[in-house]
Amino acid sequence: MIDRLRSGVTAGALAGLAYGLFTWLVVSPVVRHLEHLASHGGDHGHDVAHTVGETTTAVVSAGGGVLWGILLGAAFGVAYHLFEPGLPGGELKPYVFAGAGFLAVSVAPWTVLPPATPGTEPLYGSTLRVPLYLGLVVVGGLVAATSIFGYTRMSRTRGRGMGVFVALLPLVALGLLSIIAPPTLTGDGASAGLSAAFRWLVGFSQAGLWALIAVVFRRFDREFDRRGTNSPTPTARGTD
Amino acid sequence: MSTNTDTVADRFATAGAQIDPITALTALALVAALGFTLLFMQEPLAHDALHDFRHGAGIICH
Repeated sequence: MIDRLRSGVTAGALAGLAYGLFTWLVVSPVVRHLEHLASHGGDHGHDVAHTVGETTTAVVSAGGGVLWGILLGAAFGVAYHLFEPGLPGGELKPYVFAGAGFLAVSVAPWTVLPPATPGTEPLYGSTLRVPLYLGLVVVGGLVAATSIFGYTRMSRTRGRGMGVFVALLPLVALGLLSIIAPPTLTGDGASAGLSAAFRWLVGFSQAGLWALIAVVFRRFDREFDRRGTNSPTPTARGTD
Repeated sequence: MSTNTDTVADRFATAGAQIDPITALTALALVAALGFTLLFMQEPLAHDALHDFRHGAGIICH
């Protein structure tokens, strides 16, 4: 458990550094630019409300990116250790689990609350959005769990094709939720094309962060395995 | 990967036996504090400084 946590934090820190750098070099300038466009287009200057300078925002946001990676990595390590026996995929288990994490933490909330393009305004206050966001993370976790459980169950008895089919059902249900969900953003800050491009950027960067965590985690985890410190018998593993 | 055949329930039982509640609560509190600061902090200074990050990570609570 402690070894897994260590691997997770290391993976998270490395992935977080890359992600923080990405936030610094790509996200901040893009957000700045889009907000600039938005404040010139309409009269709801989103950037007028800032109480700190742009440099501070960029630096702290990059640091936030690093911490975000560490947070996800730590949670990933512990949860992976607990749920590993139930995961399909053999050698690819960390990737399966990272996909589940991405689904729960990012994709599920996005079905109702899509990533806000700079310049758009949320329709509802944060008192409604915060519980909704947390609730959707739980929903995403349930969807991922049902999907994985369905796959392992069905592929054992009815073959792999049936397993994949059953695994897709919860994902399709989540997709339907995104279609029937009412819009939560307003404002014409950016054009539809720019808005879509920004959302793809956000989506791919989060998916990349999870993938990086899984890659690095798997590397460290195998190292522990080879050294024998990650012994399968619980008695041989110290609690530190 | 490991060749062990224990189940998810075994893993939870082992973790419960090895880690005392105080440690678990401390870890949970730290994670919650970090998550809260990054995602939901509404205090203007911290909130605005993390603005780009929340946009970039697609976190709606900004």
